[in-house]
Amino acid sequence: MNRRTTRGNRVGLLLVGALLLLAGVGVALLSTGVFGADRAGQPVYPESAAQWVNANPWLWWAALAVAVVVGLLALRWLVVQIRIDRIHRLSLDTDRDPDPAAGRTDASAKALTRAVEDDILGIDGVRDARADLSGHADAPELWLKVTTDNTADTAHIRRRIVDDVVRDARTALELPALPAYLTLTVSRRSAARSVV
Amino acid sequence: MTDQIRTPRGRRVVAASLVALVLLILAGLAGYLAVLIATDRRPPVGDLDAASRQLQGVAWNQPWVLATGIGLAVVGLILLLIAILPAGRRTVELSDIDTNLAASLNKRSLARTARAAALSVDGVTDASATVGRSTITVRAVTPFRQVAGLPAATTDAVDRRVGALNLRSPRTVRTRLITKDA
Repeated sequence: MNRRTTRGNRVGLLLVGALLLLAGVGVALLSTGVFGADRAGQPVYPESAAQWVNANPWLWWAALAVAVVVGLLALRWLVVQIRIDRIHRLSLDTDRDPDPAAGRTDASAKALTRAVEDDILGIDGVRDARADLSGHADAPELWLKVTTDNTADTAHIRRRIVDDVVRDARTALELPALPAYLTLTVSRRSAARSVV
Repeated sequence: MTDQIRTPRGRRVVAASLVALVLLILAGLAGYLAVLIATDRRPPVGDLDAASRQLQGVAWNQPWVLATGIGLAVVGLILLLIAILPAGRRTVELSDIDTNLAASLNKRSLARTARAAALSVDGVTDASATVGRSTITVRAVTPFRQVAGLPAATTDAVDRRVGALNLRSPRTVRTRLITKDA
């Protein structure tokens, strides 16, 4: 539901992957003596390096700063995995009326998504429905997750959602081209039988 | 003509979360050790001076250094491939005449739909279905020994139900009939 996360994950994995690959290949080349047998026989952490590190105690504070930056970036990367860029308020009539005096109308996204969920739950065979508006307030996207009974006519339910519910949502938002993403799940259970 | 919008592919959440978690743990550990060394304190476990001396005795050409390098390169290559190759789709896309609507059904749900269609056929007492790239394989169970026409009827029923969904990549239905005493 979040395209920035998708891009961020790709870039993050690409960066970490490239760094590890370069480091790994470098170590392997050094180890196999590609840069000379002398070099391959030298210690990984030579005495001279240890002395230099001991003579420069500021290095540890620099290492701490780097660790904090990397740690914070990693924490943010983790947190964005569960983030959904849900819209809370919708701007209606903006950019559509050339007259600035016409003002603008704000609407609660929750009110619309709840109405959409109620409409879907009213369709025979629907067990659960969830609607969300994501993206930008002036260019929203409608995301629908619908669970049906396993004996329900999924094709019919889908038609009703597309032809009635999505159409009504587009009319309400005055966005005839509102992008909608519908994910259908068929429940393991069939409809509960009512006893008359 | 406007292009049909499509259900987005996976976001590589598992790989990204794992790498982020490992980075967070390593950064925390490195920061903690940096503070200890900078303030001349000792860690509760291990000896940093001994570790430093031990590392001075390790040459680049030792087998485990080579193994570490190869390990790092392999992990790096896997991460690069995950980042570069298109993420997999966990859902089956459905076609729609509305170009601004992307509908999809998860594979397990498609299998359940196929199973329900198979169970609706007279003579089928149990069924299971698996969804492949281009096929849906249905295993239908019947107590009857004379089953002429039953496999075709099952295939027809599943085909009709799945066909009504309008899959973006249509799948061929195959039925295997198993005779089992009731």
